[in-house]
Amino acid sequence: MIIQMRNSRVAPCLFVIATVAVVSVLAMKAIGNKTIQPEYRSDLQSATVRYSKDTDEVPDFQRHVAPLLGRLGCNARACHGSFQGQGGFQLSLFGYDFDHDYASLLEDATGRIDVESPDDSLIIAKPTDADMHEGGLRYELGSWEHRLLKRWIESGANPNGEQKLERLELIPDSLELTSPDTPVQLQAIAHWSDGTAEDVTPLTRFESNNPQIADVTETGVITTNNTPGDTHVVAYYDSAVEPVPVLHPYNPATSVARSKAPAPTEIDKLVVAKLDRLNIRQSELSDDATFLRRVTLDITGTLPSPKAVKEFLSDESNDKRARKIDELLDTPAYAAWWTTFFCDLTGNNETQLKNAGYGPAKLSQQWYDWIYERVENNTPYDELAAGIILGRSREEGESYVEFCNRMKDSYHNDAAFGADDSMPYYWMRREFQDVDARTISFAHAFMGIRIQCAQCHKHPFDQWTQNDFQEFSRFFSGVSITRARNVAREDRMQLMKIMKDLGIQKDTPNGQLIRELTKHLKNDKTVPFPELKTHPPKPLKKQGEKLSRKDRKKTFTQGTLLGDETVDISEYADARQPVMDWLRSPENPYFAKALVNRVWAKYFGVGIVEPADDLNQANPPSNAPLLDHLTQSFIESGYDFKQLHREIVNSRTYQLSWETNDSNIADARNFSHALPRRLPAEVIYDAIAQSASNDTDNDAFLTSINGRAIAIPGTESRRRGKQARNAKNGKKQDPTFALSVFGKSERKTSCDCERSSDPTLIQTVYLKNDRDMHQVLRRKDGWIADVNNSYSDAPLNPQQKKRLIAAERRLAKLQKNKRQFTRNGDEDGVNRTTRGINTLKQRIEPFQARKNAPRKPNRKSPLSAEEIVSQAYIRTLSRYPDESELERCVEHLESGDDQFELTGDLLWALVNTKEFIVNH
Amino acid sequence: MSAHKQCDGMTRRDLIKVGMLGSAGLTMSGLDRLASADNGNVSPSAAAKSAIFIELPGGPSHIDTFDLKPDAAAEFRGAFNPIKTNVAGIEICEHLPKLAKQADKFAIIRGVSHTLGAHPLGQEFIFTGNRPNPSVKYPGFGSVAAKELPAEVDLPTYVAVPRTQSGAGHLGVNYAPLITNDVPRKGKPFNVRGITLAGGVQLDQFHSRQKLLNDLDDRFASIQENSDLLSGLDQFSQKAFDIITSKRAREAFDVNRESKAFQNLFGDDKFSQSCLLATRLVDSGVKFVTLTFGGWDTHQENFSKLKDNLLPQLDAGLAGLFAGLAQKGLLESTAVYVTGEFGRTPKINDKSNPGGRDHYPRCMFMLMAGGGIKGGQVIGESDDKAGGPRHEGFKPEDVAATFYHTLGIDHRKEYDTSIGRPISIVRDGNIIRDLLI
Repeated sequence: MIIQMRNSRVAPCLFVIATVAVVSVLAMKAIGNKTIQPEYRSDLQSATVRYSKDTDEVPDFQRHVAPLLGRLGCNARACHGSFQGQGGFQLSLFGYDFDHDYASLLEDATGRIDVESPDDSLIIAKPTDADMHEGGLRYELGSWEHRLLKRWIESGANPNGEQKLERLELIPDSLELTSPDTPVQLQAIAHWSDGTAEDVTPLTRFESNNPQIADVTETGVITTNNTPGDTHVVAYYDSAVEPVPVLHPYNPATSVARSKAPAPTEIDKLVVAKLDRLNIRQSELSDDATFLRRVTLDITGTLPSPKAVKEFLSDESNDKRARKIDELLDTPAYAAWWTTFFCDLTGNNETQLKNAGYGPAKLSQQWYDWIYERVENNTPYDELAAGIILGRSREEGESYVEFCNRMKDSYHNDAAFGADDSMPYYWMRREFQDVDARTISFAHAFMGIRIQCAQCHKHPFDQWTQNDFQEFSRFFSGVSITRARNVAREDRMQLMKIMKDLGIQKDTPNGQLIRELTKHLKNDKTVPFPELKTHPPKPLKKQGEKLSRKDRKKTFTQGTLLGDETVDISEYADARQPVMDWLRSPENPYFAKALVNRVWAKYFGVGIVEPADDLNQANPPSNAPLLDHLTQSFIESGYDFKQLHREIVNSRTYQLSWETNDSNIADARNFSHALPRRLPAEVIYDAIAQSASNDTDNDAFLTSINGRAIAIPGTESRRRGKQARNAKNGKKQDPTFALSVFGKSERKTSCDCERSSDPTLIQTVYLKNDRDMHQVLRRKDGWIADVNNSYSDAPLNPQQKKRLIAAERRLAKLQKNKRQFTRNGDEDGVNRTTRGINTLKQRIEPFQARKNAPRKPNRKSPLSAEEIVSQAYIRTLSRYPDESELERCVEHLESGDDQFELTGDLLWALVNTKEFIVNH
Repeated sequence: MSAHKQCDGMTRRDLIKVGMLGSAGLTMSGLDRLASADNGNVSPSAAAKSAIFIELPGGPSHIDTFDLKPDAAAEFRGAFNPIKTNVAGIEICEHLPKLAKQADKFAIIRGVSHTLGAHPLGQEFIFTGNRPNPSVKYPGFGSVAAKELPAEVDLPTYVAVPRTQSGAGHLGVNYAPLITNDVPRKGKPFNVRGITLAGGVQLDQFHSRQKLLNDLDDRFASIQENSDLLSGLDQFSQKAFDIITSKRAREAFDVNRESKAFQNLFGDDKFSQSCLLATRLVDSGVKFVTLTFGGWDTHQENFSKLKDNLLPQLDAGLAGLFAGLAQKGLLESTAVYVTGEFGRTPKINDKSNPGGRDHYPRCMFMLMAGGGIKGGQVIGESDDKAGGPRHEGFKPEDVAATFYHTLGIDHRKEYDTSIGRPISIVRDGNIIRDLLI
């Protein structure tokens, strides 16, 4: 057994070999109490056995030598896998670059391989001598590892044969343990393209995805301890990454009548089937109030209004949940919130749009609106994606001037831009000057995979190699931005005419030029626009680098779809087209699945594949049949986005309570109960404003998205113009700070983790004491002001006092004017002032009565303290208070005589509860 | 036991451990820090216990400030003359007379060189010590310090005055600075967002609110201990209450509590007052302060902008800062690092009369002082026209590594990002030994 020091900083290459166990493959007994004997291939001998004695077999570099070096840790990052190498010797990180590694071993005059005297080869002499090798003793002289390497060297140290790995078979291919005491040996069989099979168990690396549940030894023996649950053990050999599911059920005694578990929908059946195997019972169905709050927040990013809560709770029909779901899916808030979701995915970010047109804020808004229109109309997802993936600036046959004219029109008319079926800004982002960034972003956004590892080395958890990355990136090197000043040759005459018509001097400096053109554009003049142009794919210039002369002339004629076939790109006018076609084919393993999994993760707080943007072979779904079913049903529905929501949210599984039972309290990945999730940044910001607003405004949150944080298009949150005037939190507030505190996605790197739902200290400080919080909670036109005014004898709050004094002054002035008009006999004036005086008197009378009211009101209000508490609960926690809560809150309301402040305390306390800040 | 390392050194098992903590992985490390205030991860022998980082976004001209070339031709030399400082052999611009009297306290680094001539890229590079990379967002210096340095119970660890260009990057919002959003004005009360009790709420009312909250907030009692999110929210609630009600935190931001004589070390301008605040914050126990002082993008009218506005503020602020830290005995334990994102073209352009200078990353200056830094010296040298380093020059990464070193932070230390990719604090830097005492 090999133990590796964890702390790589202290001892980068310190390894200790304890023992190298030669495990007999057939040492296995029964698996658990199911007494299933794995059907091992006893006809194959593993390398351990074959090389434990002298043999005539000639090892192969790719099959044996390279994987052995990998398993011994030679190509680890802290060792020779480091990009700088170690002691002058460098191997490809995580292997798989066979040509490079072979060349590195055979490098002249290094003595790494000495065919004449194999044992003097450094790859034998050093790792078998702890004193000589900084990386310590890796294997011992006389061991099978030694014999294998030595055989390879003495037989000429030849490079790879011609074979290709077809698949890696694992025996057993899944494991269900009812008695955890028996270790289970895995056997790994490589099937090669020439039809041969080989036991490669000792040349395979094994890792457990959760060693708490199932650990695996170096030699592939799975052991479990007393933690029930399920996970995967993953085998790595050559480019293959093969997971073996291991399931360790919870205590059978806690399982009651499994088959009786209700499973009304297909989703529930598949979830319960898995839970049955784990002996987990699902929680009860959530109550109506919990359901309503959860589903409204999830579908629309909005709190249910007090009116909605009351109506839903008093509705006694059976289908009220399904009807509510349909109703929510038809609100503008749904469209806005899921547009935000797509803007996160595609990276709608103003700072990336500086070169894409006039005014990044405008472009970002157009980007948002374009998606909004499609989410609202429930455009099929594949169409929406195609509009972005195949985004282009010009319509077919359109001249440059016509294009500039159309862009000018859409600058002044937002609807015009949305009508185009193509949205080019995704590809016009500044970072996309770098073609690698395009590939990384594309794989993340539309395929849910993290290909960036393969930019520099083989992907550690997936099959992708650097070559795969490069080949895939070819499809994305056929578009470029043409700057307004620098149009294509054939358009130059048109550009010059536009500039001449505008009277712009040729040598105007860039900054000034943009300012002048923007001014002309605002005056509805045609100005030159930058555009996204397609061209034959070719090497592109990178930031701070120059293209070599050779690269400048090169074009790519071929690209390879990830894990799939090579395509002749030259047949296509747009190199992105074959990728779109591939994504749309029903067998595509990523496109629909990635979206379905992401949407599921939004509703459950955890994906079926988790993290939701990390589909890779070593990270299999927790419930593959469930993910397959959802994906299939999404494709069959014609990529119907609303139907996807409807199917998920109508399941009993989505509607479960967060309250756990004895069997599911430890489960967090099999959907046996609801998991509390912190509200997303925009939703928190809006929810606070909504809680504090008056009843009329509160009711409009679902239908009027103007001024809401979920309607902010890009990453620049400061609102201007119309948005600011309608801002729900008050006109002067800038949500930038709050949104960044609560982790709105910055849309800078390709990772779903950019949107953070972690709790932090600064968030709590914000909720307790930020000036914006205080301002919103006691807004003049908010709920607290309404409550306070409902007391006919309530003392005035300071703002009301101020307003009253001003009004009384105005009244005095009017009365003075009236006297003047009377003296002058100006009848019109007298009439006018009298009308004014009467209106004003009427308005201020109730306030004057309260000016000198006692500090302690006499509760002449229609609202009792109990009613105020109920209202506060419904507008924040979307439920009625229980008795003890009611009692505590009433006690607080009656503890002093400044109702305005005391009601403010109550609202403050409720929005500061955990219950408010999480969806549950 | 399986032991092989994965995506650069992390075993799959380590990854899963992070995963098992769920979304609160980072958070919980934050909580540990809160629980024991001395859980910092720095070398105890480090000279600096706190630091002040001063960003000069826009890119200040090197040839007009700390790297003058009086012998160069007129189209390079510019309008300013050098003056002597209190260190023999070191000369700086005539419009920095106060700093000239403090030159023994700081080191000038000349001939720092890189290739990113756009503001956002240059700032990302210089203010994090890492060349920008589209798939990672690097944290600013203060965020790394907030993660590594021991925290105080009732004080923020990292404060940005009034805000900063560099965020917490992949470390996450937990290590973002407390942003003051404003700078103090002489003789006026200074309200800090989040810290100063806002909205007219009084301290006793705040206590009574918190009591009401504590009584109501028990809905999830049955599942709380199984949820990192819920238990995290609870602990942050307590810590936030401690900070907001802390007299020490409130007073740390109140520059009026300094003596008149001390306040007079600083100018009345905004930057000087920010420097005064930074001094006071460090004195109170805040570990890292970032100051931002912009306006250096002098494409036009370079000389008048520098002479009339920018240099007098920089001079008064920095001179006050160095003198103030020294007077409080804090200079030895506070590392100071001052830099823009690039220098400016040695050749004067004709976009305006009397001319300006454009972006120029090939040659720039930086200043360092305090904790562990040997003041009164010039390190590095630029060529005759200040067009590039005369010899090998320094990389921004080298200065960043040195800055971290003064704080006892190993710049080669690696963090695992949320996707399990190990990222070192500074990818490619070497400590500049000559800068150190």
